[in-house]
Amino acid sequence: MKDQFNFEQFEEIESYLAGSLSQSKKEYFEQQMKKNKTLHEETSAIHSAQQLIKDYCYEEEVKESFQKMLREQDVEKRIHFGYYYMRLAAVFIAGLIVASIGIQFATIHPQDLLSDLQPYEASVKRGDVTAEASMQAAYQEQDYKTCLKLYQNLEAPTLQAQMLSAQAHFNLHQTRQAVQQFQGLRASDHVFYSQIAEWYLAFAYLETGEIKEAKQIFDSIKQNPDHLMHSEYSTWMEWKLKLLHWKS
Amino acid sequence: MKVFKKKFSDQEIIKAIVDNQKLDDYIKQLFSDCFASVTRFVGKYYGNKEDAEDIFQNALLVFIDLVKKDRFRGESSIKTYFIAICKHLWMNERKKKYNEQQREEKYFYSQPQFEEDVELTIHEREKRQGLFELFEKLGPTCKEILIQFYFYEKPIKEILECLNYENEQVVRNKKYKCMKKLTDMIRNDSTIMSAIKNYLVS
Repeated sequence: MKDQFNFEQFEEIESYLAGSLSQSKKEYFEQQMKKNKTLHEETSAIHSAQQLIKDYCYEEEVKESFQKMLREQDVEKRIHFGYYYMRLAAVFIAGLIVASIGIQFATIHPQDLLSDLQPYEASVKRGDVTAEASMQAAYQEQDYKTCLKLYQNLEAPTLQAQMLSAQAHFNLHQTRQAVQQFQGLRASDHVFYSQIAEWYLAFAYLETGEIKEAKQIFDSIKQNPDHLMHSEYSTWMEWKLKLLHWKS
Repeated sequence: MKVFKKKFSDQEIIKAIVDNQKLDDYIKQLFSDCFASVTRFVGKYYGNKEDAEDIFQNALLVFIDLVKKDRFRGESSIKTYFIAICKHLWMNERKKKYNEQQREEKYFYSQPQFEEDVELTIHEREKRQGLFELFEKLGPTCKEILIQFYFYEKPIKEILECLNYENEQVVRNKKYKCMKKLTDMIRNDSTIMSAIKNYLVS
C-alpha cells in the first residue's frame, strides 16, 4: 500500500498541508482521505515528519543559544577576573612603591649622599720641591693636618693651594672652614676651580645640615649642562636630595 | 558577571515563544533572573554548577513546550514558574540517578495543576526524543535538505545553490526520498507512532 504513493502524490499531500490547493481540490482531497485510510495515514505521517523537523530545529536552536550564552558568560567572567587580578597587582605594586618611599623617607640621611662623593684628587709634579708641592704630596697621602700647616706658611697661595686647603678641612670635618674656603673659590673667575668648589660646597652644606642651600646649588648644576659636574649629578642623587629636602 | 538589564515583560516572552522567535535575549534575561536560585537549589541537593546548567537547559525546553501547549496559565510570574520547573527536574534527576525517595514536602510551587502539567510535558518530551533520534539517523545530506526546506522555509532554488545539486528537480526528488525515509521510519516504529498521534490531521 505504501508504495502506491509516488512523487506526484507526495507533492499533492505537501500542497494540501501547506494550504496551497484550490478550494475545490482541497475539498476533493479531504473526501479522498475520508474514504482512503492509507491516504489519511500517509498525510498524517508527512505532517508529523514536518512538525518533527521544525521541533527538532527549534530545540537545537534554543540549546545553541543557551550554550553560546554560557560561553559568553565564561569569557566575561575570565575578563572580569583578569581585570580583578590586574587591579590587585597594580595595588600591590603601588603599595610596594609607597612603602619603599616611606622607608626611604624615614631613613634618609645626608650621609647617604656624602657617601657617593668622589674625593678631590691632587696631582704632584715630579722634582717640584716648593711648599705648594709638599702640600699636594701631604694631601695625596691624606695627611690633611700637615697639608693645612703647609698652607698656612704660604705667602700667596694659588687657587690650587686654596682648593687643597678647603678639601683638607672638609676631610677633617672642619666644615665651617671648608664652607668659607669653597665659597671664596666659587667666587673666583677661574671656571675649573669655581665649579669644582661649587660642587664640594654643596656637599659641605649637606654635612652642616643646610639642605636648602645644598639643594639650590645642586639645582643650578642640574640646570647648567656646561657645568663640569653636571653629569655627576644623577637622578638618584636628585631623588635622595628631594626626600631630604621634604624631611627638613 | 554582567547584570543583564530586564527588557522583556512576561507577556513579551510568551509571545516570542509562541511565535517561534529567536530566543537569545529572552534566554539571557531568564538566566539573569533565575540561574542564581537554581544553582543554590541544585547545590543544596548535592549538585554542582554543571548540573545546574544542564537542568536550566532542560527546564528551558520544558518551559517552551508548556507555553506552546498553552499549559502555562500565567498564575504566577515566569521567574517563579521557571525556577519551580528547574527544582522539579532536579529532584526527578536525583530520584532517577540515586534512587532517592521522593520527598513528601512541596518545596517549591503551590499551584495544584503544576506538577501534572510538567510531568505530562516531560513525558511527551521523552517520547519526542525518540523521534529526534530517528531524524538524526537520516544522515547529514537528508537532514540538511529537510531543515533548509521545512525549518528555514527556503525555496528549492536557494537550496540548490547552497548544496550544489544539478537542478531543482534533483533537489525535489532528494527531498521526496528523504521524507519517505523519515515517514517510513516513523510508521515502522509502533511506540513512536503512538507518540505522534497528537500531530495527526483530523
